[in-house]
Amino acid sequence: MRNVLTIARRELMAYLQSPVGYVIVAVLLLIDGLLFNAFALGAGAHLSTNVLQQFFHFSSGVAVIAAILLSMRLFAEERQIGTMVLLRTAPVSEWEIVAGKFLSVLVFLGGMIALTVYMPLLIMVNGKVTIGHILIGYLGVLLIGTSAIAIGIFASALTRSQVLAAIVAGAIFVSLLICWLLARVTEPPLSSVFEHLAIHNLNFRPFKEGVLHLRHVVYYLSVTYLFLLLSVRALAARRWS
Amino acid sequence: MISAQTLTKYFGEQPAVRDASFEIRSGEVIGFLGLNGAGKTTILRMLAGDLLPSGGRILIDGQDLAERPRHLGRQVGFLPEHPPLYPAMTVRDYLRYVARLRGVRGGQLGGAVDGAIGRAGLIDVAGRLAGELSHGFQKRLGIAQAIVHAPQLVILDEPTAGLDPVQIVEMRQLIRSLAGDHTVIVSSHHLPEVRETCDRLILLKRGEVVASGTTAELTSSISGGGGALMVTLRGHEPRARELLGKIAGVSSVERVASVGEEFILAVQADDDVRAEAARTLVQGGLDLLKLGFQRDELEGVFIELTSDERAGGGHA
Repeated sequence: MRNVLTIARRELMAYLQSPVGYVIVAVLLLIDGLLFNAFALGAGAHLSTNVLQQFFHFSSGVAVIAAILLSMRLFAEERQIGTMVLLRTAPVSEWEIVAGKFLSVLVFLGGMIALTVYMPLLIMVNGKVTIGHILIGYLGVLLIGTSAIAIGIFASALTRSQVLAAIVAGAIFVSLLICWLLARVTEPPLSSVFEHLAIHNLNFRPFKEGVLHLRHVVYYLSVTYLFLLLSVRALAARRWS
Repeated sequence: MISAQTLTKYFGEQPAVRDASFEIRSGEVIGFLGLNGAGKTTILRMLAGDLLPSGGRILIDGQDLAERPRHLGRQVGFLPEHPPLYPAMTVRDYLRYVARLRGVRGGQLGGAVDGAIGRAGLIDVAGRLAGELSHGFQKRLGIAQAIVHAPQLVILDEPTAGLDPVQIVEMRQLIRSLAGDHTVIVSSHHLPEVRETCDRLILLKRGEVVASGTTAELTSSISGGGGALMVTLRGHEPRARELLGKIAGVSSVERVASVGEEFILAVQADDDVRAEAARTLVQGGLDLLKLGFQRDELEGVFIELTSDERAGGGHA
């Protein structure tokens, strides 16, 4: 665990000391706020529950984009500047390396998501939403963001180009996203498989509605675990070349 | 301490290292010498645990590196050809990170970092960003990160590459200063480099170990013992050969080169016959222009063993 924290601390400092992390967060928070103002609040009267659902809908997208942009550098940059060798020759396992990197982005992303809390609080003060709804919605945003971090880490472990890593991660995420469309055009039981594989539609909707089902939590944790495992395998394979 | 047994590495179908076997004793400074593409970096990466071998094994203190890579990772420090630095970290923060990564904890951390900074001559730049350092200081920082956790084995891949002459001399001194506390492995394709700093050399050619030993051992394995005395003269060559041939202990006299009236003779002798040769030649009426042992015998060995013209190759 000490090794995980050592790596996570260095990565977190890299985000905090570089303007890139701040720029990504600032731009995405601005977009989140504008979307909230334009669409969630909009013109005319809205049910506060609907406004909150819209907020979590936008926030999930912003969290996914932030996760991919923040994680694209994690391994690609190390390979670009030749520092991967430090990690490979240290008495640290591939799991500890991946976990440390994952933890750093999770903390940074968590901080970014926390900065949006004023929006649901505004809804709570001016409308009728429960704290439970807010907490479950945020849990969903964090979980989908967590999955996107794992996908971003995996893509970053494949290439030394950060841009390519972001593109690959985006492609993987979109593939999982459009599963709900595939569910529409296929017959059962295949349509059911696609429906449950879709990373946003069926699996995220309950969170934004304030409903917590364990199976959706398990889904996001499974996606996260799968891509972290693939990242570990990709790193281990690199030791042969 | 370190034993490599039939170490082999393939990149695709291409063998980079083939059946390389060698032993390195504790406290030695060993030089891996070979032309570009000889397999030096590949062997060093495998010794550092950065690359897995396709065949063979590496034993460190009798333990297989493949079986206990994490434990042995604490015993090895590695400087690749390009120092693995984070440009946005200060020298001190970087070394603290590397030390933590290599298992240095708590109260030992500060002392380990200060020790590495002092030893690598980085005190004046300890607060500066790694990316702002000159190439020479970046190399020094690379060495500092390789020794910060006090490993038994320090592996340095081309440590003087890209340095200016003054920095090269400083780097040699730094490498020599590591001997004793650490076993040091240095690679280079530059012969004077390893000759100055290493106790023993391992010569590589196309991924194979073609010879190993001290400078004297390697020289003697090729020339059959004793270096040639090179005599540059002006005058009558047959007379010079006759006079030199009469000196006790001289086994052969051969012309190496001639330009105009000047010629160079290579004298093979069992003893040091410089004084007598000089006296005899001058008394014999010849102009003695230069006399001395062949300065770069090892250069000849290096070229002999690593060039493609040589038929076969054996272990010294």
